[in-house]
Amino acid sequence: MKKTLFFFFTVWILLWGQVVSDHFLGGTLFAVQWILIAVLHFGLMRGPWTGESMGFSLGLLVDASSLGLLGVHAILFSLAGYAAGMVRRQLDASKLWTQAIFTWMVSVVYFVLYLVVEKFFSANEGSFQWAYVTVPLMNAIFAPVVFQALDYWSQVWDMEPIEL
Amino acid sequence: MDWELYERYRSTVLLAALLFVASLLLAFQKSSSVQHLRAFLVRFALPPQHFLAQLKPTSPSAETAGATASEEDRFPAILDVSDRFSGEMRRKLQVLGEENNRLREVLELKGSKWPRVVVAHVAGRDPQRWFQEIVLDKGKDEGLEMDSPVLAIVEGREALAGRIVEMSAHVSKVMLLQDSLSEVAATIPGTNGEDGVVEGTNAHDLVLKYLDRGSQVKLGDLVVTSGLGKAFPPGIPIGWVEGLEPDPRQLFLQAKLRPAARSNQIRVVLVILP
Repeated sequence: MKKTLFFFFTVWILLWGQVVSDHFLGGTLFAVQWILIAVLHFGLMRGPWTGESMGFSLGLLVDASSLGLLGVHAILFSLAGYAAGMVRRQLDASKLWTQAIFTWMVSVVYFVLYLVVEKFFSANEGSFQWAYVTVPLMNAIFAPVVFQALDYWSQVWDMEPIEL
Repeated sequence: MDWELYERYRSTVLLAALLFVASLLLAFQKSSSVQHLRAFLVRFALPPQHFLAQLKPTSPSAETAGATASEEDRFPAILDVSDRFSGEMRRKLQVLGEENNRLREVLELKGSKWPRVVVAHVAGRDPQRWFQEIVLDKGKDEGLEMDSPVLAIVEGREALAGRIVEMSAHVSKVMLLQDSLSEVAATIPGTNGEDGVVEGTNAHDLVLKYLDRGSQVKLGDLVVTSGLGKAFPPGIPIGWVEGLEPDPRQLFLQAKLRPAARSNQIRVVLVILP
């Protein structure tokens, strides 16, 4: 029960955080993908099972909140969570540089895949925007903050990472 | 043995299952099951956007600030008592006042020019499709129809914002003029009725294409809908000419437009019903 509540509130808070952030920064070069960073945190700290589950749930909610194609973010965030979980043993996720560089790399791949999926499934082919360059950098800058915040949030709930 | 194998690869199996489900959702976007799932998820995801749609990040206007100052002069005792909450209350009053002004403008236009319209609020938008679409808090049940023109209200005047392209019961999606797939038949009043097509660029600006090379168009001219094709009523402002250049094939002139409805400023819209 406690675990369910922990994940429910985490998803809810992340969704609110992303919506508030997009309200003020969305469409600018300084937007931050808090949810993507959080999915990477769950993958790196708790393994691929949790990473991809959180990625799928949050991705569906992001798709629903934008009325974009339902499933695009679900696919991309699931893959991100899985990838983070699979490389967790090769990386020392407690190091700030590791968090930042890994987040930057995944964000770049995310945007490339986003354009590919849009090309296949959407009538409106995605086109290059400068945000695709700056947003991964913003993600990398804020990744250590999000990792720290989620570690603290887990401690508050007494839900330190246990691989599922 | 099989169980051990499953334990070893269960994350990969789960990923395959999730990707399969997501692919089905993508492939069957228009099916009723997916639409129901979307409607359910929207109920979960939209409350924060509804909340934020009521906020306006800009500073208060001088007029509102002046009114607040005079209220302070008249009721100092009351304001002293509520000192702790006055900042928050003032902000709420400002937001409500601005909302009231916007709705008053909408109502005046609605009554005088567009009798059959639905007023809707912008409930959300996707950062990756910022210039392409907005989500409205009204849908099929409020009488909206596919392809209905959507007008934004800018300083008491209407301006074309886009058209409805997707709907569910209480939510709808608007393709903005800035979307590169958007095309609107347009004309420039006062230039012997020169017609063209306004297309989006996936950025702030618009482009008016297919103008004659000997065109009389000049910088600052207002571009409005021509009504050709009957998709949009004639005479709705689209934007102003900001630049002129030959098109890449040198056959026509094309004009860069500053949109009358900046996509970042749209809060309340009118959806015109047929």
